Amino acid sequence: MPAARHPQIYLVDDDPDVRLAVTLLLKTEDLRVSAFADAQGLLDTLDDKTPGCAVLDVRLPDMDGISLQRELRQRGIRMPVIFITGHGDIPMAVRAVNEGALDFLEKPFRDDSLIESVRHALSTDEDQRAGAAEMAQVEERLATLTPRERQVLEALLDGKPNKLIARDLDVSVRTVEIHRGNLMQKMGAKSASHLARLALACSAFRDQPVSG
Amino acid sequence: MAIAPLPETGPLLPAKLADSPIWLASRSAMLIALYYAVGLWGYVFTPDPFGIPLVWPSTGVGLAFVYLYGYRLLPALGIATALIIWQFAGDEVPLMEGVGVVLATMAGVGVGAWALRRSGFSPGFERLRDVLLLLLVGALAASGLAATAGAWAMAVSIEELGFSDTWWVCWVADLMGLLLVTPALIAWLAAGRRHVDPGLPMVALLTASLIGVSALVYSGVLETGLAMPLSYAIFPLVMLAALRCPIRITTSLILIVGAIALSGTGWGLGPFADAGLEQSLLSLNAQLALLVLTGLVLAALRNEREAAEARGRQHLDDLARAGRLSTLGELSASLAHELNQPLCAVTSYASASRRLLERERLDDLRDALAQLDSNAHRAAETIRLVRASAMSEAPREIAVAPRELITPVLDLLDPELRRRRVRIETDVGRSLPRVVVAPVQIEQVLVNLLRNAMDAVEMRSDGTIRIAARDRGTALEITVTDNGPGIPEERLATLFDPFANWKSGGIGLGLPISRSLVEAHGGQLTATNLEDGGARFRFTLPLEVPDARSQTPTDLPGRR
Repeated sequence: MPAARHPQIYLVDDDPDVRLAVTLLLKTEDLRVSAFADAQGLLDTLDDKTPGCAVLDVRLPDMDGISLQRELRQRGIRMPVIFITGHGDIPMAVRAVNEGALDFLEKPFRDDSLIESVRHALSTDEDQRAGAAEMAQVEERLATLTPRERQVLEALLDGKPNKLIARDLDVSVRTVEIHRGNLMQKMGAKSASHLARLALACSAFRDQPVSG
Repeated sequence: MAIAPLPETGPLLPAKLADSPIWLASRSAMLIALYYAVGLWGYVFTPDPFGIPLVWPSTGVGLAFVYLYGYRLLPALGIATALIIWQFAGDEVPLMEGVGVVLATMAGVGVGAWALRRSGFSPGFERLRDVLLLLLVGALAASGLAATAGAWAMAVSIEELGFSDTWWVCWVADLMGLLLVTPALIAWLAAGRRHVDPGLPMVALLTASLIGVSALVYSGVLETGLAMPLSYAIFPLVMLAALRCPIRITTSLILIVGAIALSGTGWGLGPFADAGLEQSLLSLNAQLALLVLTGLVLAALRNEREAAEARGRQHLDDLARAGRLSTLGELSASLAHELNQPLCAVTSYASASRRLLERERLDDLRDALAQLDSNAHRAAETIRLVRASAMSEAPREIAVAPRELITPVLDLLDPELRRRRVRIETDVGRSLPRVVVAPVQIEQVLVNLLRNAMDAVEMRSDGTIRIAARDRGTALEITVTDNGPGIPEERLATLFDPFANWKSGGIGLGLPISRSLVEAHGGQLTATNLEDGGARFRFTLPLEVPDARSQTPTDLPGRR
């Protein structure tokens, strides 16, 4: 089954009654649900582009839910995870949340708790995806800069004035101003501070140490 | 390697108490008085013209006090030694030599006490190594140094005495005195572990026998040919004391025997007096030393065995409890899971149904309700299965006399009752009619009730549990009554609810299980508080009324 392109809830529970009941409950809220009996079924379906969230039972026949969450992360699948369990134990809940789970619900749960949690997960996923898309766009634009424009951008990010950049690069101040105008346009930046924000959101610059 | 400083005060005393000057003064006075008294005794019974005593218990007194109460008693020891020297040899021993003797005695006792504290010696003589440590420390440090000092003083003052011969006599005298008085002093003055009381008659009998035999042997009324063999009759009596009595009694009895033997021999009476100074000293002291060691070694071995047995019992108890707890823990966890799954389905279907109803999707609603129903039944089925498996192993029922039910339980709990010093009163007549029960289950009920009662009287020194059985016509009534504080009013209502009465070491299931076991037998279990304190648990077991019940005994309610 190809991964759906619209947001879905991916439910994994080995108990067929729970699976059917929770699916029906979510569908009455007009949410889309795909249900699986084991971890492998889910892993075969998802990729890093799939939008949505996962609702996992802590104990599954082939792998426990927390390991499944770890496996998803390793595959680059950042989808939010909600755990449901029939063995409510606090250490397990703490472990799940420490490993990045969004929520931990004890069976039987109140319908509102599950639905609220699922809606929160879906909007979290959407925000994450929007952020990722924006970042991809900045990366694309950065790739269009000439080496000289990139040098000027780096110098600007270091907070150097045009005069200093001109001296460092051994060009005239006027040339620096032209490069600067071009790269602002290419990056789609409205101001110097906007430019800095865009560039710093991008991984290529985020980790770069600020040099004097 | 850094060595932690030694505690200034005795190892067994709270620092605050030991800090008070009044305390120090009183202990010092006690030490001086005792040291002086036994020194007087030692001098009075000296058989030779040079005044070398057969036994010199003062060193042992000093060792016991400095070990127990700390090095701050060393000055008192010095004063006591100086007093003795001044009293008996003041005109013969020059001043500087006298000071030397005092310092050497203090050093011997100080080093001895230090060695005892350092080596982890325990004042209860509960282990064999404690006995050996005392022997070693006494022989090497305390007696060794003190004897050197004594012999030196003697050799200085009396020209006819050679140092090495005198040293030997002094050493034996010091060690003998130490072996006699130090164990008794330490046993009485240290707040050691209490042992089971052997009972006054036993102690009285042993004391009387030992004093009688010793007096007979060392009073000179018997001929040597008879007195010498009879002197060995003391050994079995001391061995009996070591096996049956607390260490205080044993060491005191040995001390009494030693005092009688030495006094008699000192007066020239008894089997050892005839052989001359050197010989009599050696023979008597050898016998007394062996007597002390026999008593102490046997007592220590008995203690070691008792401690090992207690550890073994505790270990078995812990294992049994851990076993019960983990089984229960696993059972409740898997039961919770088995029930939570269908309940999760039920609640999800119920919420879904409400939404479907609001949207008037009636066909879907009908399906959801059918699923809800089937999941509710699935939960019920799980519970039914658990009940069935729990009840499947119903033990065999037989007709037993009430005494046959109660006696094995009391036997089982006897060590625990004795350990916790709880008295048991039973009032279960021989002529009571038999009841048809599963003995294991009713014994379980009795164990639960008795353990609760033991917990209830824990704080009382006169804790008593009374267990009684009565024929009430249609039923046998068994009551377990304690003289504890009674059941708190607020707990009476929930006393038989599972998990309602958690306490340390318990899980709150004893009473609920007991009640269901009694009810499975067609009886009732109730609890009441007595007006004058204490609680009473009462349960009934139906009696077979001839011809009134023709069913088989296994046909009891609640049983499969």
